[in-house]
Amino acid sequence: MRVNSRLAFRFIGVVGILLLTACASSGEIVEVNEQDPHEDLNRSMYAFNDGVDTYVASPLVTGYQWVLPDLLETGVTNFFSNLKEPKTILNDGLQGKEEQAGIDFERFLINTLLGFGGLIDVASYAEIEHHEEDFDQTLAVWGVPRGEYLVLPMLGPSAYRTIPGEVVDAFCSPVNYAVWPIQLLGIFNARSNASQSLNFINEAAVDPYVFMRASYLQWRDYQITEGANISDDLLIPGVDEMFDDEEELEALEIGL
Amino acid sequence: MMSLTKMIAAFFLLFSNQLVAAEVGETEVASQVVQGFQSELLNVMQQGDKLNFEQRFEQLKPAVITTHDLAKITRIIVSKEWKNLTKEQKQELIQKFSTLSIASYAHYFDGFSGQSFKVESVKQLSPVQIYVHTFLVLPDDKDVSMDYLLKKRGEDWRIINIITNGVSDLALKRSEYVAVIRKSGFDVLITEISAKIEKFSQ
Repeated sequence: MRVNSRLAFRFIGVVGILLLTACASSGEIVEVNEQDPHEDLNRSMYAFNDGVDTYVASPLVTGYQWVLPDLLETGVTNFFSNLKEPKTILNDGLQGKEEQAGIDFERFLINTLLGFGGLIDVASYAEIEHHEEDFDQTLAVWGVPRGEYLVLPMLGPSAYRTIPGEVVDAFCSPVNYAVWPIQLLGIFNARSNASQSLNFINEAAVDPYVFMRASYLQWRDYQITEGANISDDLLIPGVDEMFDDEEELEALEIGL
Repeated sequence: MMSLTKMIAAFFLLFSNQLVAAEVGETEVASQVVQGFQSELLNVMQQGDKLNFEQRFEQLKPAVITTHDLAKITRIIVSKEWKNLTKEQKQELIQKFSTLSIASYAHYFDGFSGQSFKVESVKQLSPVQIYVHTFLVLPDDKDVSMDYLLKKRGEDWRIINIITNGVSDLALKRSEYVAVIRKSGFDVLITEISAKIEKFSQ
């Protein structure tokens, strides 16, 4: 598979809707998305982030990708991915996933000891499954509601519950205790890995802001529920009401 | 002579078996629709290097049109705005959206490096809706979960939604399209879709 198809699948793996709802107020139709009441502010922040990304981050990352050979880039990605394992193991435990915690601990141990500090993902060769857990997911499992959608400066899509989640995760991530060049390398690596997703959004979306919000919220739900949300998402509320116009649709041509 | 109780029991047993058989038959048909489509996708991917965009588009066109309910999908993604559109606008939207759908497949499924699809499970959600859970197996990466929702149209089963790793294409597009129509109007939506088609074809 070439870049395009891989790009599409990788996007789905990196970013992750709740549906738009409209309500009427004082006789005037006001569009309010229950998940995103701060849409105007969020759109401004999205535009700001997009500008920073276009004029600062993207050129720097292009340079980073040019300087670093692919093999080394994979090694750097593996290294930082391995450093996220302690956070995952801790959150496995907090969510009561003992067995998964064991697997993730094994993964961390193998990659650290046999994979030269995590540069080589030996555990994947041994078919040890990779998991991603964070404190936002833990709070969700504990029943804390997500809260409203937010676009944070430089950090992108988020929600109220994500903020304390990020703070706790930061304390648990070894990379945050490393010297600044390592932290900087981590930022470059994270942005580099997000390149395909960001390109995909620009290429496929008719409204990139809504696309980002919708996919982020769905993806997080998918992660939190371990895929159990799919059956809820299958039948979009209100869709059944739309199944009463079969005759009208039959009369319309695809025209191709 | 068979007692009345046994006759009733036999009747219900036969009836329930027929119901189960009918359901199995329907799920099998729906599963075959998905597998047939995926097989055509793989076919096009395998010829990726030999085919240009237009050729991939033409090859995928009948497969997409016969396996997807494109008119229904278009209807759903504009939600309540559908009722505000004229017949001509509805027609134009269906045509544009159908072209975009085929163009997306032709653009993204353009090469092959050992991928395959596998059907994990099939579930009848209602008499007119079936869910087919599949995986796209990537040789050097984690499998991608691809779930299909099919709706019965006449005697056929047609795909109306694809959920990739938890992200519903229908819900995603519905959010986007409704937002664009409400914010900028129908014509802008058509312009945006046309621009995407143009971009995919390059």
